[in-house]
Amino acid sequence: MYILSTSFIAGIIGSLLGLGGGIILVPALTILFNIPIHEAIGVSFIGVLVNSSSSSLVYIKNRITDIKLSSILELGAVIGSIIGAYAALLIDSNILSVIFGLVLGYIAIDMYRKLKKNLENNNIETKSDDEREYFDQSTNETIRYSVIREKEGVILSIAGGIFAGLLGLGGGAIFVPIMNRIMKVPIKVAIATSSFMIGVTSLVGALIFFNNGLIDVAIASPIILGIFFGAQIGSRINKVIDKRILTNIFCLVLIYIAVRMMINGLEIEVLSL
Amino acid sequence: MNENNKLEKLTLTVIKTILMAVISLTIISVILEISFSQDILVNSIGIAGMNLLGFAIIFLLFMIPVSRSTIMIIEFSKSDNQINGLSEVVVLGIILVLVARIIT
Repeated sequence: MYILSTSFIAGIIGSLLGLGGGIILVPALTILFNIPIHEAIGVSFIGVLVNSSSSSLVYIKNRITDIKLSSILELGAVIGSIIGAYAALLIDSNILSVIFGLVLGYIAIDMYRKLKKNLENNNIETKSDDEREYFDQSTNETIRYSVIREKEGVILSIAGGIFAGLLGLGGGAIFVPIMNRIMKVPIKVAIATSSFMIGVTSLVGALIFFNNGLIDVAIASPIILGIFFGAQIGSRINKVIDKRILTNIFCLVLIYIAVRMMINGLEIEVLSL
Repeated sequence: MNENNKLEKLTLTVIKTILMAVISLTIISVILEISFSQDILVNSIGIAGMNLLGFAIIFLLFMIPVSRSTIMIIEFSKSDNQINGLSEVVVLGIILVLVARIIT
């Protein structure tokens, strides 16, 4: 029941901030429920897979997902995910906690920086013959764009895959900037396509962890339900909530979790932190 | 554009159907667990170290990316989109190898 409520909250926050549930789920399972980090990463893959499928339903329905682009980038992402997942199995749990803490800290700082500077690229370049389009519901207009630097995108998505496979996260924190800043894909399409892609990267990670007996189905069931319903609620309250305030609060929460994960990893005794 | 529409429609239908099945089975599984009747109903049959319901949930969940990759391969090959089709074939191949490693 506690895992169900934690997953539900993780689903809501993940959906509100477009990060997927893993970023909350892995630290919550390790810090609150004392589940070893490798097992937490294993079940997190399941949560990410549910989150990806659930959000893809909305994005594909709204015709924002670029399926052709995802099929190209998935190749690099899957290779990276295999490398990351096998690396995670070899790395000691304390070191993995420290890496997780560092990555969380980076994501928090990056989120805060984006909020301040609005770094997202919405400039559309139409250099190639392969012009694509999507309908932006907020502006009621059809946006045309072209995808550039596909080869670089595939190579860089290996890095996103490694990150996803290593820590049981979706990898959206890497895939979205690759598509938006390097391949010049509009931010909404980048987020939707990333959500679609991470279904495959999380499946690869899940299969590797499952093969090593690191996915507990008893824990996975409440996570599936919590993440699914949390993501549904999150996507509905997304429009009414002030995202600036939410992101500011969440950045602080992430930094706190990052420090806790690093403390856990370094095995520092801290009383009632 | 029509090919894209068809691909999106098929992908949407498959993800929706399987996801709904997964959620329904998970709800049943949680209810059974709370009501302690799981022992009588499904725990007696075990596959891969899991009870039958747990296995069905995980299997269906894993089928979501596999099914949509298969649809993408079929649709890309129909529309002569060889690069996308080939990329998806490699991805599906890797997934199947990982599945085979679990089975064997």
